[in-house]
Amino acid sequence: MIANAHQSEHVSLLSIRDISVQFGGLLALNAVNLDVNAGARYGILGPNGAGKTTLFNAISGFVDPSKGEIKLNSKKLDGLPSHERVLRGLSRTFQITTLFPELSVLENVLMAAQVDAGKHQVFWRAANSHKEVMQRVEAQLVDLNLSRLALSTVSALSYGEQRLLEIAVALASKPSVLLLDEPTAGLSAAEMRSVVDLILKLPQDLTIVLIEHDLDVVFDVSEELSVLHFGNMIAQGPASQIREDPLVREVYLGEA
Amino acid sequence: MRFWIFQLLNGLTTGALLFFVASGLTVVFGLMRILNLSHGALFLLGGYVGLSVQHFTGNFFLAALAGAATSGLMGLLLQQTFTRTLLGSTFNQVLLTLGIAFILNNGMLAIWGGLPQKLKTPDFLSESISVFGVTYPSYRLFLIVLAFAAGLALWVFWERSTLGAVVRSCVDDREMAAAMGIRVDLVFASVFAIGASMAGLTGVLGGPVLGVYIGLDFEVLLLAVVVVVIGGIGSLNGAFVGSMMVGLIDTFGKASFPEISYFTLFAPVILILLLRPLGLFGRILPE
Amino acid sequence: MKRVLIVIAVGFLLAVLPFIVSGYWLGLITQAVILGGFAMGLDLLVGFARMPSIGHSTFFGLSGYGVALAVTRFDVAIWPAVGIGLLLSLIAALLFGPLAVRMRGLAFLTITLAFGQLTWGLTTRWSSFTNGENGIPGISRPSFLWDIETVVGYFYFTLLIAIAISIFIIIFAESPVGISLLGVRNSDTRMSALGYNIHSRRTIAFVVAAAVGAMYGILNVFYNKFIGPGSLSWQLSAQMLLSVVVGGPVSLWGPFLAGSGIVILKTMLIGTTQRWPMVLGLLYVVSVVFLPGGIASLLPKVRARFEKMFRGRVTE
Repeated sequence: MIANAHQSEHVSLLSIRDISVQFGGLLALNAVNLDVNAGARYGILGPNGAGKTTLFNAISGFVDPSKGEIKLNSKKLDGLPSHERVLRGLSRTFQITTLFPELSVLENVLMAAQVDAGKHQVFWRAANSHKEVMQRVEAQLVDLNLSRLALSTVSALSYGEQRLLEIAVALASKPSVLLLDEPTAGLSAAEMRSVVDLILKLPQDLTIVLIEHDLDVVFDVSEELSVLHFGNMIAQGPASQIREDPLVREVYLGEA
Repeated sequence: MRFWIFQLLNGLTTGALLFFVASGLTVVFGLMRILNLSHGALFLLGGYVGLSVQHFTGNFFLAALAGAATSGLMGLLLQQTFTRTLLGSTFNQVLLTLGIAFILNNGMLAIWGGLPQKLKTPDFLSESISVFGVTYPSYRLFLIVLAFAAGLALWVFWERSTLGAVVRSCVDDREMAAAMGIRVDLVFASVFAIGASMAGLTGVLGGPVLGVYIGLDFEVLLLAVVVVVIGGIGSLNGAFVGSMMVGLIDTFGKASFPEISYFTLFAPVILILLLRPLGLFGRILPE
Repeated sequence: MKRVLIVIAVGFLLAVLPFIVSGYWLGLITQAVILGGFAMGLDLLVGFARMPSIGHSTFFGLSGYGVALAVTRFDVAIWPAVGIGLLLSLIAALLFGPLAVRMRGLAFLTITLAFGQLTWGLTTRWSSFTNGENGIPGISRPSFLWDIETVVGYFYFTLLIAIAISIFIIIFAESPVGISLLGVRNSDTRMSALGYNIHSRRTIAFVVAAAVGAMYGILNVFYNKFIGPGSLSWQLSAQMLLSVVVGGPVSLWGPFLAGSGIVILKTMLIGTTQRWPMVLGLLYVVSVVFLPGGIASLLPKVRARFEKMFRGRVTE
């Protein structure tokens, strides 16, 4: 709450005001506020069913909030379909891997890259003939250590590789804000470490909002945190402060 | 006025027959996610078998019994032979059941020939009686009454009986039902067979009204699919309301605007689908 | 590019047929090319975007009816009538497509069937305008660079147009729009999260398949010099769906081969037996049960089509 006060003095990149989401009788999100500055590493913490993914769905346009306002770069996103929000610079991953299982790794990344390059309406020349798109795809694959798998079919990849590809695909949209929904869910300790290293290596001007279950990962990656509990934002502030917040320790860390 | 009452009764008769066919189709569709495109052929098979049995015995009830039994057994045979394909992708289901429909269609042509034929109404229903000032065949009135009775009976079975609850549980959650000890495969096989035998029975019941001829299988299938879609997949209430609607629209359309009667039937269907993609009584079925 | 060359090469190979086969066979092969090409276009919708339409003969038949009605009822000259026919199909596709693509799976199948039956019903029942079940005979072929009244002349005409359409389809299939159709089949969520408008992508697949069907429908009406309700029946749609599945979805050449093969098989069998529907039915059953990947899956290398397509680029 204290952190909120100084943030509202300047304009943040992603700003969420009083967002509520209702599923039938269930209030999945209750008047949630969030301000994310350009270049921030922002973590969203909360137990299962707290409404973290619903928040992402509302931001990326997969769920219509019953009230509230979402702004990216001071422009309202409300009512825009999800595919148009991507063109505004928003990109996301999914908690449950959502790739094209029958296509190759390269094609998965290409599918994203050709949109950002503005080539996705082209029907008169081959997709692989756009040099700048292909170069970008290759660069993306190199960055994420996936080039050796470029021609493998996604369904043949290991789970860890698929999680990595999920991030690569989201990055290929060249977003200004990247929403990562539990990128390390279900990974082994070693795989988890490599994902965290990857996130830390991402360009500093990329704004990242991260949903995480694993506390070590959250505190490793994010400088600032919000804590969701049953659809309510119960704490917001710098990581160090959240770690000591008694309310957070009670509901999330399970301390009395 | 007499024209309208007459057409209304005609529409209800068609609706009644449609309901018998469509209820089986919709339950199989809802329960197993199988759109059985050979359902029309099973209907016609019943009709032809009934025709032959009536020809040799002169007994309509034996004919109805034989028609229902033959189609039911054929349905069971198909379900058992192609279980895996039938539970697979939409494409494969559609092509497989359509292929079976073609085979049955051509087989029936080989056995019973291409001439349109008609079953005789049972003797005690051969008279016409006067209702609302029009003289109307009592057999058709019997069909209408039977449809309402069957609709009620099915509803009671579906909503109130233990067996109905078992079937419904399989519709809602196959795995949960299996975990509760319900033999899902047995439920599937019985429902498929019962649906098929209802189609066969309707082939006989409809025999005196619609006749029995090659091509009727696809006409009936088309109308039944329309009923299922606008009623909502897997919904018996929907099948009933949809059947009566389609029966009435089709009858009035043919009587009033013969030149565009297909348009008068399919335009409302498309409209309903666009306004309610899941049909009138439909709900999202779990995968 | 390689695939375009293959199409041209196959075209040249077929071009020697008039010197080898009889007029009867040449006529049959012309029909086979027409329906094979139609199936190839449908592959974009059924194979690529995995939308099982059982109503696309609508656009095949409608363009033919457009030509026939324009010529016989309104005395339009033949070439402009061709334009009217194509336009009629395109308008219908643009009308039906955006509505139908909102449905998925079996619901999509049913609504395409409903749209198809609606147009079929109009052509059969509206006898005073469309001549009903009897169809419209006596449609003469247009004048072209060479005489297309002869069997050989019309074969070359069909071949030329089929090659042009096939080249378009292949280029389209490998384009950004084409591969996005492969994305739509798997995951709506992912595609919209990447910035694709799902409905518009699905509509594109619907309309392009319809447009290809419409063009072959024109070739069909001039071949037969006749149009009847059979050319927009759901049975024809089902046969096309079968061609795609039997041929091997997404391979393009597989559906072409299967679509043509069925025509030839049908004609050969109809001469000798009344059991054609049974053979067709068996073909449905056997192919679904024993060859779920289609003819194309028999060639293992085909599965790797996209791998090959990109290999050169990546390793550069």
